[in-house]
Amino acid sequence: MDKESTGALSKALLPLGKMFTKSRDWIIARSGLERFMEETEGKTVPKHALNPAYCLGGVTLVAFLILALTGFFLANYYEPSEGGAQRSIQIISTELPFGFYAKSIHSWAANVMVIAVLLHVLRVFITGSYKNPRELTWMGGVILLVFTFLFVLTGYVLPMDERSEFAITSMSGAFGWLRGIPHVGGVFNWASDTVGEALTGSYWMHVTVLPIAIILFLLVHFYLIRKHGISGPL
Amino acid sequence: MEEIGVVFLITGIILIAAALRRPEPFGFPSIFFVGVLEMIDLVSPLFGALVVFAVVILLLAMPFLDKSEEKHPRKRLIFFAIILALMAFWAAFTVMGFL
Repeated sequence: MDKESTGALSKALLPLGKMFTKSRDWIIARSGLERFMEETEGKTVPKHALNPAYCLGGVTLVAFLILALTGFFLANYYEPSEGGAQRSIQIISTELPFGFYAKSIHSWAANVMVIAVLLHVLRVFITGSYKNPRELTWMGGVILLVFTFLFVLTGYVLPMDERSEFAITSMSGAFGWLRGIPHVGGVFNWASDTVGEALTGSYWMHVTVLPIAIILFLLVHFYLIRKHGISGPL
Repeated sequence: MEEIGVVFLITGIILIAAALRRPEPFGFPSIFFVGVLEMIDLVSPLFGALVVFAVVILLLAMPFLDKSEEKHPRKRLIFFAIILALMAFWAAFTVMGFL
């Protein structure tokens, strides 16, 4: 590209750039992001935390975001009924454009998330990062780990294949007794040994209860990490 | 900052590349739960649930049990041994589940 055409392009893009800057400033001024940006300005990641082992929490978050995006896409086409579940999965896998990719990326991201979160917990434990003042960050993280496993288990039920049978047997075997608790037993319908009930309960947990719970706990987790910073080196 | 970006980029590339090759990473049965199911099969469902709850409670209580200021695992041998024992326990039941 010669000098003249570069100059012409810059001139043409100038109003766009100005519009972007104006919009950005408008959003920052009205959302209170200004204070947040001032607070974060100049904050750097400590050298010891540039080790990939310290990035596992971030990898978990990226996997969760991928799961949220693909899950949102899949939920639009999934039918949570005994007869419809397998049929809708079949349609997603074979007829829906990009459906196969969305489904397999969802499945792979779930496995990446579990492995990354387990390694993250192990790293935090080995480096003793849960010690004073980070006890609450650790406890929130353990609860997030439990939510992750519940996410995977309830997700296994949804396709209504051999994996679902395995998940229903595991969940009803280990946690079915929770359904006997007076007044709140219905919350644990995902641990039912009846296929229909387990499917409805798991779907409800997988697309509503667990996403809300995990997002709330993640926000608290991030706030605490922000507050206390990354733990020091060994 | 670049290092973190690289980790995220690698995660993304792995996910997409993997998704293009096969729909499921580990096949069936699930490697994450086969150990718990084996424990339920061998002992009892209630025992399986109690072990899961006990592990969660132990992990939640860890900062209050391991109160020393030492961070290096060599100086926290008891707690390090507890985690290693838990992992060995889980691995053993998982292997038994696949046999």
